[in-house]
Amino acid sequence: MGRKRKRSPDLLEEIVIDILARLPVKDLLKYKSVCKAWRKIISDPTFIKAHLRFSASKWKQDPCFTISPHVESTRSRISNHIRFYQWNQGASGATFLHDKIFGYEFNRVRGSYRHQALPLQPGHKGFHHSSTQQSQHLVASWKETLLLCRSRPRSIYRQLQGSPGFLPVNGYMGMEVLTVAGGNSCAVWREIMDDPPYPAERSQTSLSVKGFMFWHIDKALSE
Amino acid sequence: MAAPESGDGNNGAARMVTLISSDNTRFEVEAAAASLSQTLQLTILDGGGGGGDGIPLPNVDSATLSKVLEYCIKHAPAAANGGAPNATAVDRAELERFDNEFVNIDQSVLYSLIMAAHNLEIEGLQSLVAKKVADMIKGKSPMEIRRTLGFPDPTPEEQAEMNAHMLEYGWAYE
Repeated sequence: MGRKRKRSPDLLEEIVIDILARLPVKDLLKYKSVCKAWRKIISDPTFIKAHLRFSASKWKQDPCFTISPHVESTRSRISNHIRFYQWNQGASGATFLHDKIFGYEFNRVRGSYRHQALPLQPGHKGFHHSSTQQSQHLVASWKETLLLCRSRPRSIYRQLQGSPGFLPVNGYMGMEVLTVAGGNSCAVWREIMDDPPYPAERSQTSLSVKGFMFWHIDKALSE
Repeated sequence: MAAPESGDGNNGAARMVTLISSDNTRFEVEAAAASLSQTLQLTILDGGGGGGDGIPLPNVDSATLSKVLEYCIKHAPAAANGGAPNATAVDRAELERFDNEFVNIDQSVLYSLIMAAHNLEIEGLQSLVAKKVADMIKGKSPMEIRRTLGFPDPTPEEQAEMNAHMLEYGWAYE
């Protein structure tokens, strides 16, 4: 087939999307530099949605978390140097992914740190984490479901800890929620027009810094 | 299972249709196999492609079409069963083995195939080939991707952009 007339760069955009949607996020980040057309596709919200759908279906079969927990030390300062690890459900250890020194902007998050914190990168359906044993314990022991809401401006995240039977809390109309459960369910943002599926016991606000979302879980929940 | 459209076409021998490739080769296949293509399905339901007529496919050459039909013929029985919910494990394993071998082909054939699958809207074949190509490029560097896919060498400007990107997302390149 020496037909070089139609070279692969001419592969229809739809075909390229179909192929790229099957690749992991790490590869997609790299491939933004392959060419302008690819960068455009990978940055497109429609593509990101398609990729999420794909990842979500795969994630169901093979849940994996990227987590970076931090335990409060006796010193009140938390390092700006954050390490991210990947952990597959049921695995005995986690794999180091990457680390990054967060600059000045990380100061915003510091105040909200207590006990342990899990940053979540939207679109990455997982949690970044740092000390293997700790995170495994954390995730495996989630009996309660965490319900995370982001309000429309999308910069402020709210973490709700809920259990059935509490008084309804009003005022969550039109929010998007992310439900994270300990089981096999998968974490996907969805929009709710009504109140949350069940009332929230209490809530707290988390911060979004450079595309990562930070919130903390207190000891009561991690035990 | 679906109500027959034009009388009962399934009496006796299976209904055949003729497909004509871009280089004028005629392929006679069972309508059930050709109907895996969403594009062809409508024409076939309308009674097209039978007798001496044939359905012309100006975008698919004979080498690619014969490969596409090989896939369709193999997958038609399972598709007729509605995705083969009652297929045995052996049947499924056999289809999987066939699929794996089917895409174990030269890259240029793979590209012709994905274009044809797209043109003819054969869903199973589209995702089979897309998955194969994704596996081929997974983990490669942007430069390797460009070479694999036959892109021209980057211009100095593009090269500079690639380098800058690599600096910014260093961790993704590890």
